[in-house]
Amino acid sequence: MDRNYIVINKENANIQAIAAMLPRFSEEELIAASNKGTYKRARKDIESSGSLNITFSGEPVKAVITFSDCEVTAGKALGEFMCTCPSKTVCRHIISAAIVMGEFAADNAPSGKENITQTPSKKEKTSPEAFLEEKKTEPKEDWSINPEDVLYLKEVEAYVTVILKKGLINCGISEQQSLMSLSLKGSGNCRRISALCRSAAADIESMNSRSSAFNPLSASLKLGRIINTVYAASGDRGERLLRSDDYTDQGNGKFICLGAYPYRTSSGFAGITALLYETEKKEFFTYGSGLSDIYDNTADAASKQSFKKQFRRNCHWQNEVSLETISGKIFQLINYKADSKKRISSSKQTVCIIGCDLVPENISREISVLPSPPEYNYFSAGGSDSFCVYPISRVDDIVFDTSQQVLKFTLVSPKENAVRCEIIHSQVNDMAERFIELLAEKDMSEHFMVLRITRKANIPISLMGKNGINNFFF
Amino acid sequence: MNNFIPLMEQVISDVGFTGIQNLGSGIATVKKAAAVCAELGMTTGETLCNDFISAVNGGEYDRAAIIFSRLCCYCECISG
Repeated sequence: MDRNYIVINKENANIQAIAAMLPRFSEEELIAASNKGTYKRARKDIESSGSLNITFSGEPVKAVITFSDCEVTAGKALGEFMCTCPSKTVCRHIISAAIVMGEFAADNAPSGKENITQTPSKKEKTSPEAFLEEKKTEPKEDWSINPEDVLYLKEVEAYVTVILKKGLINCGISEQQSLMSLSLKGSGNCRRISALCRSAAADIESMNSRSSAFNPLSASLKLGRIINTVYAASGDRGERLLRSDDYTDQGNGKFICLGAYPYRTSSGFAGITALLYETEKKEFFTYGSGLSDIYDNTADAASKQSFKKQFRRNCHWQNEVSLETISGKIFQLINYKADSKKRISSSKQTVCIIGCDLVPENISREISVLPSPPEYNYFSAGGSDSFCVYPISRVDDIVFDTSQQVLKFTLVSPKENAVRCEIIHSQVNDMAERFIELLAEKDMSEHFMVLRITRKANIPISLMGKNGINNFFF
Repeated sequence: MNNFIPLMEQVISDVGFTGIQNLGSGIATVKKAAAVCAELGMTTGETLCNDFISAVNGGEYDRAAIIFSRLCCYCECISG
């Protein structure tokens, strides 16, 4: 791609030689390192900026890309890119810089050397990296996946083993970046391992920044899970264990949106999940919408306001509807796609036709029955929650458990059956907590609580009444 | 059983945080977990803990890491 660069070559180095050394990242790698929203924003920023300043200086030569508000120093891996903006993670400037570097490398590459691979720098013998390199030569075993992926898994296993041996306490920015690099490397074929590596990198980051989000138990369990997943993938389960499902065409479907709730993953992703009920197949589906700018302003990106804004944002499917618009409505999705975990894609080829309001009394009887909690599966990557629309008459025993930081309460049905529910205390759940507290001693007959049944707790999503759906999380 | 899960969690947390090579006196918690497993008749847990101890004491840290991972899986599956 020809772009207008202003190149400042302080060392008068050979541009072709420099271009040959510059890293190139695929779109998939960049999205995996940030998210789709950040990637799109970065692309947009590049397109809108007239020309870009690239400065090559120092020995070895370092590339610095100057944007209007900050500077990015390029590294060999995305984790080594440094940005001067306040963001602590992979911001849109880093993604922009990585795109620009890739394009510059392609534009200036010496002829016949389009696919130049970097030679890894020599590491100290005692470093985990050196250990990894030694492990790469190990013979193949009984694997059903391709040999490149096997090598990748062995790298991950070896690296995590080294971390376990020296302990999380002795891990710093280097281990964090190496795990991020491994995460990027596996984002194509080994997405589950890639996600675990990213999450482990986030754990090390929060430990080193003395964040209360760091939990040594969950961080240790995650490292164990990585090794176990690699071992479990060595048989014929490799494909199934390592890859996320792809979306497949489902045709057209008639849905009811029963509400939405926020989510935040341990690796820093956040967004909203909408609960959809397909009236013909009589199945629950979910639709996830990530907060696209979470990496731009990490301090308050996942605030209540961001979630509220995302809930109201008109950006879903081809006709760009908002989650707020479809909430409590009966609507049709034309040409929708979903994966085996009943997650609907945000494909722009899907058209949403909004119909009438939902009448709570018409909710089918089968989804009003409380399902049993989903079965535990160590190797399942979540997404197996059950849902129900529970008829209630009142809300009792509202107690805030200060030791667990959880709001606990009981939903009592018109037949006097009680269901214990809870909401974990957080800034994002604050509105929901306050809403539930206001329901104490109120007559809630002819109301339905939409519930998410997880292995650990029953969590409310929304309240349905004569006046429609109340999405109390937003 | 009520004490068993917190004890196992303590073991996992300690080993993961301090590291297998630097476990030192932390191995005592693993021994305690092995004893509790034996008391409760949880043979898998007992075997994993004992194997882990012998791997650490024998300096087989790679094997210890694998056993530790199995212990993580065991603990997560029991606590659900």
